[in-house]
Amino acid sequence: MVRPRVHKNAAQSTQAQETERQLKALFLAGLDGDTQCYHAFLQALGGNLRAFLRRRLSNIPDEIEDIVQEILIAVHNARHTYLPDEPLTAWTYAIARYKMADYLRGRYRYEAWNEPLDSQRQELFAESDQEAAQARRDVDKLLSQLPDRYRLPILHVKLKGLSVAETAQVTGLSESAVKVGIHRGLKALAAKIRGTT
Amino acid sequence: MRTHDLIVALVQNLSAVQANAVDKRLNRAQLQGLSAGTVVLVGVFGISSDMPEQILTPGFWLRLAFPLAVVATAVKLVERLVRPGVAVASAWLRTILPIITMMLGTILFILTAPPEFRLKLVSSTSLWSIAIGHTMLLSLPSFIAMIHAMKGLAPTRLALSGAAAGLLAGAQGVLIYALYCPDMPAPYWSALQIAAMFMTTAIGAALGPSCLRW
Repeated sequence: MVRPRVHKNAAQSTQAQETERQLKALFLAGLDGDTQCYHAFLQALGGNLRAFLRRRLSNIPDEIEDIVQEILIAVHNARHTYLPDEPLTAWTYAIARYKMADYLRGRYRYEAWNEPLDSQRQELFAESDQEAAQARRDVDKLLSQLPDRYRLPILHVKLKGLSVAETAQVTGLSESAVKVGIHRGLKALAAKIRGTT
Repeated sequence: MRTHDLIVALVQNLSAVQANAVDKRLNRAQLQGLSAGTVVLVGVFGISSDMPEQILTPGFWLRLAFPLAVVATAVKLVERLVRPGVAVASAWLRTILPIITMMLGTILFILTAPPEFRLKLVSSTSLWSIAIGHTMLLSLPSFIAMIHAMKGLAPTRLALSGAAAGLLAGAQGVLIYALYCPDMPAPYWSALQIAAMFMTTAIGAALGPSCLRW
């Protein structure tokens, strides 16, 4: 279990070193006024930032491009603060983290003022970490209220994953009765759920 | 705007960057702050009555040495803080070292003095608050110049950067005030200088997050 992860980390770190080397060469040339290298640097950095932010901010995929642009502008405006002896990764990461935090702070502030509170109140009880365990219990509870001719087909086909033919054999019902049982049983369940909430 | 277009626009106004751009900017800010502070000193307080003679006394130079040491180390600290991703722990340590030394010296001086003289060494509180207030007033131009210079660089640790700017400005204010303030016992002026620097550092830390945002 552990070994592949170590491999992956090692591969990642050599990849990171390679990127650091390439980007640094391009960036330093850009600092001297080489527009082509600087263009290539910003392009490559944009790609790295996009991947980095996508992993971290998967809840706001629409805004990632905005943050990427914010960071690129910041990198451009702060490029005279880079010390050639220092790793470029550390410098860029510090800027990216600062701009990301700044953006998110502004976003939350905006939401706190603008999102209707009632919708947040709904969200508070909408999901919970114990949901999986509770869902299992709820399903069992609801199923137990159904008559056997609905309950058994649903139990075998939908929950245990048997085929319709196998279910017919196990339960002694005909195949069409199994299909009808699933259909009507799900309908009845849906009605019960609507009734209980 | 698409990212590709943004990159093209950024590349278009590309100019070569000078290697020592940060140092230059900070030095200019220091010079501006010090000269503006001196102008305030002469304008508000005038020139000290015992000025020409005072230069010859060793106490005068001793009073200048401490803020000069703090200015020297605090500038190094600021220079690191405005560069993203650079470690600052050792620079902080080096900045605090002269201040701690001075504090210990002051405490030792007061403790070794005979008890009946101690009250005389550290004189009345109203004089204290006036002197500290004057020092802070004199450090205000330095603080504004420093914050302005740092905003054009890239501080990512805003409260820390504000504190460092406050400390640097405070040390400069102390330096300017040392040109004016009358001769007095060493523990008195050293405690006063430390207290003033402490105040400006705290104010800088409080203002940093809002003033230095970029």
